[in-house]
Amino acid sequence: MTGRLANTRIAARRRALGCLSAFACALAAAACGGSGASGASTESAAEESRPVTRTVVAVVDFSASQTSHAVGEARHYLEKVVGGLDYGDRLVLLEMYRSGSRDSVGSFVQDLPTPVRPGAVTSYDRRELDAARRGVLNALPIFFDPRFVRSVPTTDLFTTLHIAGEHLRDARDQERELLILSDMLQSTPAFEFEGARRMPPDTWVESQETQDRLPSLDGACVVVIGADPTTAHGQRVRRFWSEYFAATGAALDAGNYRLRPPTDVVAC
Amino acid sequence: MGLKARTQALFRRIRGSGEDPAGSVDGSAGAQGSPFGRLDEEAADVMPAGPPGAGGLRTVVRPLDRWFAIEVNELEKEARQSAAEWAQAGLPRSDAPAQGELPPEQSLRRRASELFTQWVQKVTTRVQDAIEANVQRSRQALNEIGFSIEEIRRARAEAAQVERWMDGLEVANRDRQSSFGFRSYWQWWWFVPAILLLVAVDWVANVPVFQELLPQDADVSNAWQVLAAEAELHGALAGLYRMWYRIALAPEVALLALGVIVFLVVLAHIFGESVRRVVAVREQDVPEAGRSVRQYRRQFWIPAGMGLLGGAAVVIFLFLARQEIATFAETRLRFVTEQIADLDEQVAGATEAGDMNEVARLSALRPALEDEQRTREERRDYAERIRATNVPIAILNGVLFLTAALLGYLKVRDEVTASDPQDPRMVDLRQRRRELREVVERQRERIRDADREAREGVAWAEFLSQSKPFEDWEGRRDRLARVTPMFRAENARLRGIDPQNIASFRTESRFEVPVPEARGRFRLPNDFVAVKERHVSLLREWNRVEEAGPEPAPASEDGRRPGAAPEAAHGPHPGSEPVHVPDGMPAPRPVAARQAVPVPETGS
Repeated sequence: MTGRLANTRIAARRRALGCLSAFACALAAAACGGSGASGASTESAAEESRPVTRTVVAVVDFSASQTSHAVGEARHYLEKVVGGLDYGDRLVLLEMYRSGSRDSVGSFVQDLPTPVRPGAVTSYDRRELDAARRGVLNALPIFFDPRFVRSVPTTDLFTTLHIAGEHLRDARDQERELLILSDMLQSTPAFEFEGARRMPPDTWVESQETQDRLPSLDGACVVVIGADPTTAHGQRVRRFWSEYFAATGAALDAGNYRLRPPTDVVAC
Repeated sequence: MGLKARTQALFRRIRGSGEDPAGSVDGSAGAQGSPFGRLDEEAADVMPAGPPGAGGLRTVVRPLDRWFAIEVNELEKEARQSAAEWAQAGLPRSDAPAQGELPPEQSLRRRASELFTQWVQKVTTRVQDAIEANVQRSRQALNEIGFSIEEIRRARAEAAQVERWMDGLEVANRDRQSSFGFRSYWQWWWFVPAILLLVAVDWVANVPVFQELLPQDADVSNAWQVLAAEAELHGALAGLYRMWYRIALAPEVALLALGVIVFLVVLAHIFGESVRRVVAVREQDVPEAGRSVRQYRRQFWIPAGMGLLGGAAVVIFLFLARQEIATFAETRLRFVTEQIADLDEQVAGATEAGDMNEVARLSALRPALEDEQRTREERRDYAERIRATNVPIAILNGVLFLTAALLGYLKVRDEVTASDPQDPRMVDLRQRRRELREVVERQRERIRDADREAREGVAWAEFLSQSKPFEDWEGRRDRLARVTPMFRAENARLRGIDPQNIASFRTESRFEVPVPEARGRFRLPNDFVAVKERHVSLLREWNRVEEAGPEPAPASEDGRRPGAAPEAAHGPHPGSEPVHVPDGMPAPRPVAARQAVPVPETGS
């Protein structure tokens, strides 16, 4: 948020200097035979072709079912995701909830800077973007630091998705991406997906939707890394989540439900 | 020095050998030359200074008195010497009967008589020579008076002619105008762009220096990073944009640098213009407007000097400022480096505390600081290079100053109209009039001196012609008469005999000389009366010249003559005296501002 404020101040200063710059523009226009007008049209065209920003909500599961190797892979993948963030993107890091919304879990929100002059990326903008990415990458080890993360036996995916839904709802006109670094095994007193021991009934999603108890994930592209669809139980779990996300308005492609992280960041 | 040597030296001094007694201790110098050489020289100086007074005749014959005393002394010495020689021989025998004068007595008597005669002749000659010399002195003085009167008359005539010429020139130039000026060799349509380019070049060269010198705002630094990066979007115009952003972001720096450069250029311009105004117009080129040219040139000396002084001060200021920017740049680099170190400490603290947001925020600040550090390192390198090349840059500033001065020198043009031009011939005429006035004053002084000389010469001639230099002749005769008794007494004393016991000495010695008659001995030159008459005539002529021909009044500084009469303007001369004229001669009117010369009375 601090970077956004700084950019706002700089933009304000730039507008204040706009009048003064007009003189230089006029000089330039005179020198180039109307390049100022062409510059204005270029700016409007850039406004129209401005790339849509996105909100990436990454949920990291530190439950006991997650192996340290899986956590490490999740961290490396997150670093790649951070490296792919662009101007105006927002990254939300969420630690998986364990037993309801009252849990105290780690969270981290970082807005990446937008170009000072929309549509015209300068070296300053690039430096600011790199600085923001660098800040997130520097902060990422803390998120995975065992000193601050407790490994607990329960996993409350439903509550976590509600929280993630709220973050995605704040994205407004941005593209939404939900990255879940988890085995997708809900483990609460009510449900136990491990071994499909206490799976919800088939009408559970429909009833939850009827009761308006599902999170709103409209338009969100869901990527799941760490879930095992290779077993029968895993296939059942996958079907459940496919039905669930479909009910929430999100899109979970079959290829985005993965056990191992891909080499490159999955594109939605 | 023995008593004898002292006596001889004193004797030579008394005889007037001209040698310093102290310098001739051995007597060799005094032995050379005539012992009467000095007397001869003094005898030739028969013109005593000043009018004849109480000293009178004595001042003329004093050398002869000394000569007489010396000669008598010599004679007495000879008498004693002869007495000794005769006494040694036992002569004359005491019992020898007297048969007239002894041979030494005859010789001494003849010498004494000759000495007296020489004295009379010498006094007569000296006094007569003095009369002739003083009359000749008067003649020469009268010649000088005549010459000076002619000189004054000629100078006044020429001065009158000069005055007429000056009056004519003043009338001819009364309503004339004269102008002078110089044209421009650098037109405005070349001058303005050249000056603007000069200011721009110097400004661009010095803005970085002032940026380093003045305090910088952190926000401005951030904004400059943004805008400098944004300038990249303008392609080939990025440099123009960057320059404009630099001005707009720190206008105080730009204004200060621009002000200093404008001061430098303006001072150089003033210097060049003023030098052109001083150099381009010379009094000799426009002699009729000489005074206006002097006024015109005089008023531009101060701007030229101040322009040069101010320009030098600005160049020195820039030199000293460049010398200091490395210090400032180093300080700022150290400040940024410390900021990075502080930031790293804060990041470490936030990491330790597990504050992800703070770690991300602080880490995101580091690239900006690193960029700032790189910029500061570049600025420090730039400042060090500037300091290393400070002298050449100062020379370049000097060249820019000279270029601006040269532009001002070539651009300026002017045309001045002198409302009161003066004919250049007036300068020469005024100078000639001044010279003539000095000639008149100089000749007046000569006339006064010559008149005094003439009066004194006449007075001395008349005094000497009436003088009686032989009044004491009896005393001199008696002294000479004592030479023979001295011989006898010395002879008898050396022989231990009473002179009365020597028969030859019982006869009475007789010494007789003719009585020198003063009456009719001295005569005035035949033309003495004519000399006196000529003196009177010249003085009358002089008085007439003074009365008739006053020279014009001194001109004022601007060459104009005052309307008042010269006499009224100057008042009476302190040395003015009434003019004495002989009977029957009309008394000249006293002329103020001049020393009238009294005319002596004529008469033989």
